[in-house]
Amino acid sequence: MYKSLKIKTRYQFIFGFSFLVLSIVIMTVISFNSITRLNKSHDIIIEKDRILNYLLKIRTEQNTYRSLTLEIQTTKNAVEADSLKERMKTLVTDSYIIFSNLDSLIKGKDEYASMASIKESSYKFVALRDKYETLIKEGKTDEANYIYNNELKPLTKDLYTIINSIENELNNSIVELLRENDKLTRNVNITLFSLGLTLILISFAMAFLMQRLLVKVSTEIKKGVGILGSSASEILSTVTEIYTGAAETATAVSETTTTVEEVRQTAMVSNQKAQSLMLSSQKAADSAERGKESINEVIDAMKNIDNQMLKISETINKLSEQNRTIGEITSTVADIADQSNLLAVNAAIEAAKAGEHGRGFSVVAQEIRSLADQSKRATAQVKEILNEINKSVNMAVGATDTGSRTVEDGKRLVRECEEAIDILSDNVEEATQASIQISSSNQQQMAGMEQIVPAMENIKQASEQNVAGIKQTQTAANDLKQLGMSLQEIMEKYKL
Amino acid sequence: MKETHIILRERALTNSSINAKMAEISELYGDYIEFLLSPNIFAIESSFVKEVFSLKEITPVPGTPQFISGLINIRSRIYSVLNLKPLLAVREKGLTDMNKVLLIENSNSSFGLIADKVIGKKAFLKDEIHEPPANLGEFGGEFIIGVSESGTILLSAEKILNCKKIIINQ
Repeated sequence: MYKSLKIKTRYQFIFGFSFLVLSIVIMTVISFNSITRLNKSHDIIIEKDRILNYLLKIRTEQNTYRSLTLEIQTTKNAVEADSLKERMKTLVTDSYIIFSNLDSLIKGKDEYASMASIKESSYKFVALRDKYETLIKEGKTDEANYIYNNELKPLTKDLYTIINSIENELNNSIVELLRENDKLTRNVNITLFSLGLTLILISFAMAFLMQRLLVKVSTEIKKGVGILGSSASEILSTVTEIYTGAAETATAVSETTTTVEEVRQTAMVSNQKAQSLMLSSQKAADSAERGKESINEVIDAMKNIDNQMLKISETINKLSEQNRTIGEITSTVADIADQSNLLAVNAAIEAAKAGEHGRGFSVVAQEIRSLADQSKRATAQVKEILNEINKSVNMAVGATDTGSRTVEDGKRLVRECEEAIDILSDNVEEATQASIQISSSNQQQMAGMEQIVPAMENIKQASEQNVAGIKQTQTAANDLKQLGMSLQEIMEKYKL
Repeated sequence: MKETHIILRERALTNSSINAKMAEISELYGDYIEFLLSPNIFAIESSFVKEVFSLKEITPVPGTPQFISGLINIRSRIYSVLNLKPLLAVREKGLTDMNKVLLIENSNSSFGLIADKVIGKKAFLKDEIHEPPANLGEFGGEFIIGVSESGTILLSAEKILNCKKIIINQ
């Protein structure tokens, strides 16, 4: 749209201005041409006028000559006659000059061919006049008069008529030329006026177009200036933000540099750690090997414990049986005690029946009874102890069972432990490898860190330069804003 | 050996002192045989007790009341055995060879009494015997003649032996 408008406008301008230039050229050409033509006709008129003038002079001369001749004829005074003759002489000289001038004018031009007769007549007249003068000088007045009357006079008349006719002709041609000139002038005037009018119209049209274009353009520019102003403001704010960001970046870069330094330190520490880890891993591998040996020993020991447990179990079973036997024996003893007690009671009864004689027996019965009681208590105690033993034996049996199971578990655990130690050994091996890799990686990392430090320095410098550049940009944006504002003011001033 | 000797000596002294004590106290209530009918301790006059022995083999007799446990053979003589527990409304536990039998007799009759345990002969003083409360059961309560301060229930052998409910077929 804009492009098309532009092209269109350009063509309009080109067309309009070329038309204007063309019109001016045409006008110039026409004017020049007309002026040339007018000049030419003017020259012709001047020439003809000069010819007419010369012709008039010739006539005047002739008349003067005639009057002089007549005066000379009539005068008696010789002095006067001499002065007259002198005048005649100058007159003749003048007429020669006139003739020669006329000749130079006419020479080589066809349009004055008719004037040749004048020349001839003039030469004839001159010749006659010379003859006449000579005759007068000689004093042959009659002959002179004769020549004068018969020859010179008609000739003069003829000449006069010819000159007259030529004069008329010339006058007519001059009039004709003047009329033509007038016509030409009028035509030129009309043409120039019409052309000028057209030029004015075109100029007005172009001015109108230009004004419209300018208004359009100025509106666009105004809009653009507004956009420019707001854009400049936005740019300014953005640049300010960028400035802040750049400043933050600079600080961040500084912090990062410090952090990198710290990281480098950490990497060094971790490198040392990796080294010591490597040593530790080797030690751990040795320990794992020793652990394996220990496990084998433990397995043997576990087997021994198992055997011991079996023996203990057997012993306890035996003990349990013996305990039971003791229990049976105790029961028998208890039974005996019971019987003894009954016996004592019976004895006491018998003693009571015997009365005073049985008193001693009664004491014996009492004794037996207390013995029975004692044995009973003893058996009870034995029973209790046996019960305790039984409980303990049962507990021992349980404990032995548990011990056996525990030994089994222990065996299993030891086996698991062996496997674990195997795995541990493998892992330790892997750990050693890994620690070696870590160590080398750490060294690479440290080297990288060494490279990062100058890089960070570069970044720092770059960011500082950035900050400076942004500061300049800020100034530029401010200038741009000012420019936009002043442009706006200008646009306000030149409101179209 | 020495300890045993000392113990025996002490016991002899104790027993003699008991006898001395018994001699001192003139008001003797009577000699009794104490026995256990779980959970109570009963006592019966020793003059009516002929013998005590362990319950070995008892032959239950069909068609007899609940308190007749059965018959026993003692030195080729047959005695009926009476269980006082149902009569005295004491909880019955069942019989084992740990049970004892007190053989009581008078001129009228003789039979065995079942006891859980025979404790021994004991002499009671008149001071420590109290009359039984009047509101005892009609059946069984009639055999009780007193209660000692230690909680022993004194039974009358005479009344048991002469009880018509018990003596069925003799």
